[in-house]
Amino acid sequence: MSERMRSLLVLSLAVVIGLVTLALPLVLSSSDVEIYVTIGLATIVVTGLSLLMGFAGQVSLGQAAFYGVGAYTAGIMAVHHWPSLVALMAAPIAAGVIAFVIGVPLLRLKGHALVFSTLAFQLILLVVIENTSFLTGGAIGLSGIPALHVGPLAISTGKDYAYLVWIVAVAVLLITRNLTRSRPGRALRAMAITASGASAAGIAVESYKLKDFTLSAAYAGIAGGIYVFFIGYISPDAFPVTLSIEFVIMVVVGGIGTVSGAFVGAAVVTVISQVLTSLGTSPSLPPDLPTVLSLGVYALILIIILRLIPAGVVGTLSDLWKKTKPSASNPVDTTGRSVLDSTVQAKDG
Amino acid sequence: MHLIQTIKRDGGLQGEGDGGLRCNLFRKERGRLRKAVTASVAVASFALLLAACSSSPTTKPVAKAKGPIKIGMITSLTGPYTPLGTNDKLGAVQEVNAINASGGVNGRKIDLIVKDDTTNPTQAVVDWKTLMSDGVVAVVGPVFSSSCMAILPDVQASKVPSINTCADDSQVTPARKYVFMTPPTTLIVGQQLLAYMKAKGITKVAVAHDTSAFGEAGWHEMKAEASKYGIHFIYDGSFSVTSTTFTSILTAVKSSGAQALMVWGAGPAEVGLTTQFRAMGLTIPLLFSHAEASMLYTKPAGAAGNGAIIASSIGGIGPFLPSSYPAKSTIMSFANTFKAKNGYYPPEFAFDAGGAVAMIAKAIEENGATPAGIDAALNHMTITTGDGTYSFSPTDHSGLTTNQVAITRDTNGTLVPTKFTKAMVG
Repeated sequence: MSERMRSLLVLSLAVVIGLVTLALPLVLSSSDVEIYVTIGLATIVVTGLSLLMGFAGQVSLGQAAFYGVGAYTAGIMAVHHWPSLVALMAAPIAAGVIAFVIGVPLLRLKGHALVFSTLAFQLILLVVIENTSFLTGGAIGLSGIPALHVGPLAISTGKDYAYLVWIVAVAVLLITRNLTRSRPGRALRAMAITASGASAAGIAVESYKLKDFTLSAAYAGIAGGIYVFFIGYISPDAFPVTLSIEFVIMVVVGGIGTVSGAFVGAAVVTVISQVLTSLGTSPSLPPDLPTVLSLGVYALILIIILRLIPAGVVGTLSDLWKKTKPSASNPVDTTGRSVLDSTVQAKDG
Repeated sequence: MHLIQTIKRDGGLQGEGDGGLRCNLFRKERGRLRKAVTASVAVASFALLLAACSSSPTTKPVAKAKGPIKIGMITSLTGPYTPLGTNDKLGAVQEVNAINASGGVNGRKIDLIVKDDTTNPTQAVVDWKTLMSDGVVAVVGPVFSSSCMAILPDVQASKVPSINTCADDSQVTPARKYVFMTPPTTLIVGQQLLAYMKAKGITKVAVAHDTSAFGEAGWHEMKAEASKYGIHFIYDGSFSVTSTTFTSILTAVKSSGAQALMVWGAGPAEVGLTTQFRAMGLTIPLLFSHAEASMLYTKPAGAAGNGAIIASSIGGIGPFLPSSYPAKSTIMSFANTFKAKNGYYPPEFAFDAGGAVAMIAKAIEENGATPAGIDAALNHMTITTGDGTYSFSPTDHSGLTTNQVAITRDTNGTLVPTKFTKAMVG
């Protein structure tokens, strides 16, 4: 196939996909629109986490905490009669500021210590929320959150939120795509491969890590802000530690370090868990079946996915694409592996 | 390290390094093309998955008047509330089977559609919308309080009645249209425990509560009512639902001079608290709310739980009720079937959900299988279920009174009514 044909094919495909994702909220049932919104929100969070894990090489097990910070910021402001759009805008700022402040000490840690410290941050945040009832509603939660208004336009139905999430998700993906192709993006990639090497090359490693951590938290914050208007109620129960783990799973399934992997990871993991959740609920089925499906089968599916495609869905597709069209820009060795990837692994190993 | 090793970057560092290596324009364009295709395939997968997920079009067929009546159920079959939700489902399914076996309601069978909220309020909202798409006429609502609160706006908007099985009073205080609840409220449980303490001559009480919605609500309701019963709370300690050590709370209770320790909370933490309470040699009465009124607490607590005072719905003491008690036959009929099938006496959750199904069935019998008809009937319904006799009104959507709350003593794993309750039930 000629380059021209390929180019045309890609363009047509992109247009079709764009139209399909835009049309989906119109044809989906109301419950499926909810799942569409859930996938969109997860995509926003996972894009940030992928940026953090794949590009800065930092694993956060506390991303749901920033999601929660965004949700509580918007929710608290909205119930105190702030304009809802201002409340929504404040969500990523609050999450970003908190990430920046705690990032200064946390990002000095490495490996497991960093992972556990982000996890600890989430646990601490949940305790703080539960014990500041006057502000957050405590464990009972905060209800009566008004609908989101953009000027005279009320965002109230599932379809409205589907489009809002779609717009924000596309914006976030574009920002991330451009960022990863810019100088900071190249610096982050270098850091992910070898921090000491990047540092030796003159990259301000600590500063980039902190900025990346802040940006990923801001993404989670805006998703949390939309979430709170979408559901209209928040409690600490909406931000369990398992949600943070799920975000990490989405990153890995989609493909670490791939921007579009965030979409795919969020969609695949959400749909798998939705299907498994609905399978075991029939009245005639054994009462323990949902647990078997949600833990055992879910884990099995994820293990199989990661065994078969350890690079994630997008990472694997990307590799296959390279194999079909080997070129001088990314030479492959005799095993079909990218020489670049082999180099990365050799350095890290 | 493994995570980093698996990074595959299209384009990568080659030709893009900070050192100034440059790709020629052609190579750059080709790289972009590949990325665009990858991104497109990714988005396509996303779209296809969604399409696959979409099991039904936006318009749903309305249930035929002669077909089965669709009733929805949202409960927690996975996640932390699994033990509660599983028993809810068992109770509801048993009641539906009993109704269908006796010919259904107005000659129509009931089709129960169960959804799992995974102990997650967001999923509960998805479940509610799914049930509405399925065309259910009423819903047996969540057991998880946060799920109940999350679906409230949708319940109001859908105008489909939801009889919730969660214990949060705030959902019916004040009474909201279309929202009802079957468990005893924390208010009436608190009042009955206070009445018991007063009857035992207890005036100085310490409290320990978990920081869950249930623990917080129960404690605050009880604190607000305490002065009416001459009770003073002289110590208040809180703990997390995942706590395993209670030494600091119990040490403070021991030195406070309290005549009893009241515990509000739900989950495994209460078992640990009971064990440590005994281990520290505390001998004052240990009181629990109705969250501990089942073998889910008495079994793991074992000998340490012996003697604990536990509030319970009236269904929990079914075997001990006199045969003259109005709800006795209803309770025992349900309990015997449940025990024969599942091997244990039904916990309150099973009674709560079974009762909710019975209420919906009665409402359909009276007013037909429409959401508005069911709601109208529920607003004036008096019905006896495994939880006792409910009297709903437009301003009372919980329906139970303190007379339906038993105060029991854990006696070798069995909840035996106290003299206080024996006097109440006759």
